[in-house]
Amino acid sequence: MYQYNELDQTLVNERVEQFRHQTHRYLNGELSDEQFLPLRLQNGLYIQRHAPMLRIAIPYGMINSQQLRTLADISDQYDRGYGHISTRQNIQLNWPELEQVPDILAQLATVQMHAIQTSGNCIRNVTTDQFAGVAADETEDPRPWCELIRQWSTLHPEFAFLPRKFKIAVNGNASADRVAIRFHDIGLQIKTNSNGETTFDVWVGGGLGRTPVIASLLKSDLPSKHLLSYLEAILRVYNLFGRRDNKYKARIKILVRSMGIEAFCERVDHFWQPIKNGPLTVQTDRINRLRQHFSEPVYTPIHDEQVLALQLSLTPGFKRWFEHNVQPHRVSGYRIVTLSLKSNDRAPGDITASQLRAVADFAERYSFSEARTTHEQNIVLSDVREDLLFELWLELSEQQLATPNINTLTDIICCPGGDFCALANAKSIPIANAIQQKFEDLDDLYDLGPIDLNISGCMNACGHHHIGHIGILGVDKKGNEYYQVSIGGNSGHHASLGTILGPSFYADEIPDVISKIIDVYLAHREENELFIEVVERIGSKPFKDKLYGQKAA
Amino acid sequence: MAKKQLDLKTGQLTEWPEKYSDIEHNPSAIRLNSETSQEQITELFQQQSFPELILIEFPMFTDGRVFSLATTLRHHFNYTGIIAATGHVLPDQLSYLTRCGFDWLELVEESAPSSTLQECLSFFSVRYQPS
Repeated sequence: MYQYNELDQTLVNERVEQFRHQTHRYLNGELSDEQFLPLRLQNGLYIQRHAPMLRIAIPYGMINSQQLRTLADISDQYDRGYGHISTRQNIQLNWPELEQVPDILAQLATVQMHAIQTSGNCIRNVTTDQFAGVAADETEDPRPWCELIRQWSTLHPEFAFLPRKFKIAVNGNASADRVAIRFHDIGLQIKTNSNGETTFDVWVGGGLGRTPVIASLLKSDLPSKHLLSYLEAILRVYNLFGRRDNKYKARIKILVRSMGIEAFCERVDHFWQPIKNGPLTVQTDRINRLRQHFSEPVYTPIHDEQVLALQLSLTPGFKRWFEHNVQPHRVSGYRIVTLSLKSNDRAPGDITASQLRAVADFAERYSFSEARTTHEQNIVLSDVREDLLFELWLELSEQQLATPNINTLTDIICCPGGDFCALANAKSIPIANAIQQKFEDLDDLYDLGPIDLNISGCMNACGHHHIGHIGILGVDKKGNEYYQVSIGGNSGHHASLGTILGPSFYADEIPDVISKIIDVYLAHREENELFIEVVERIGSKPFKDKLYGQKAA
Repeated sequence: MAKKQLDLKTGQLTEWPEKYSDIEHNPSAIRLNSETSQEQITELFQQQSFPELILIEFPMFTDGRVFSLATTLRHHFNYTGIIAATGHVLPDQLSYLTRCGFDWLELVEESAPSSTLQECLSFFSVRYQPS
């Protein structure tokens, strides 16, 4: 993974000292709440319901054993011994003291970590596929490009005070989109042209939140040397013309929609032409140097399929886990393993300090000392030798990290909700846990096939409820918490937004509501049809009828 | 009290030059703000030769348009004169101002103490971007 050079380390160290200075001035009364707000947000620090929340960047999800151990130490020393993996592959601490945040940042800097631009109206952590570099069907490893964008966007002098936050995602896979590029301010799809050169399809103006929008294609086949100048032109147009009078209409999606994609494209072009071949041009040797940071490890596969077959046939628990949490690897003899952070006894995405240390150990012993966080709020060990899977499974099971439910209904994406977040209208974690409890029987669960279930505690949509096959949104009505249910959302290459089924429900009705939705699916399913395929085929009416009776029609 | 300015390149505090004390009546200087459009700038530069000084006002420190405005003056209109900032600016924004092409900060009532301004000017010795 990427290793800091002297410039990277100096910049992060200087940012720590700058933030220490800012915190000091705030505590001294030299900065008002209003002035400190964007400064602390640009460094990942929120003031939450109970305490500040610090969001630490995990650039495009890559993290090593040493960093995992440092996070564990920090969460023990400054917090309550756990962290939360966010849907943008970052990790959040829920209980730090404001006064101690500069020290936390200083400790993070010693292991090449920071909290720069994990919040605020600036360019946020770039996200990508958790299987980058190891997926069998990948066009190109997106991570060198993510790192290039990370560097360009970090402390960019012009774009620190945008109208609103700005999220970029990169996908290097033609057949799968695990990144949801069509729901980002900018989504980049890596392609290869007929000369074997890297190009990008640039999608713009997608997003969730109050106004969910599927992105429009802004430019096809952008030559890779122009990537940064083109991004800069888009950001310049957004910064100059995006709305600032209403924060709910300030995202780039609103600007793109009001201008129309053609006019927006012309504007971008106007600002792009003068800088197109300037100093932002991506030189081949620069991207090649970044690629070296992500070169493949020395694989030493041992091909003994009989042992694995025997283990699978003798141990049903291992077989279940293998079938659901283990994916094929580009290199035969290796597998990609997903550690599930989803079970009914924890908040989705939560991980304790001792689990962080265990993951650090497992990464070291089984996966070249590296792990990845996923936007589904799980953790991936990307390079596990096939003959070691059984041993790893035993160890993961001891740590409660082997729940065999990846991509199933109980692998729920969920925001922290009303238990922690000051913005939330309703709690989301107890809803997730209640559903997980209802669908505890694994055989029944597996029979349902892959289903994305997403829960957000408010319309800011951090749990991405619009793009869940089933989406649940917490709403507040006269001080009471209710839940609106939608179906048919899809985050991948066949992007779609969910349809709201009808009036909202009480919290304790939700598990039964989900059961009824599942019943409709099972009643209509033909052969191996997936949940989302049934919804696309029969529409939402049969589901509405089941939930609300015929009158809903 | 005479007005002062902070030279963003050197960190020196100096008197605000007398000849720019009344910008509205000085043909060699103009005042812009975050609402100024690219079309207005084009028009301005068609009517007159480059002014010696462009003063850009921050209505509030979170209005980031000002950074892009200065950048376009430098890189799209190739303006080479002085760009000065005034209004609601945080000390923490000074290095960004410099890098977007600003030369001066006019000190106004709401400006932070000059020692804080000078201290904040030099937090970073490195950067990722070309300018």
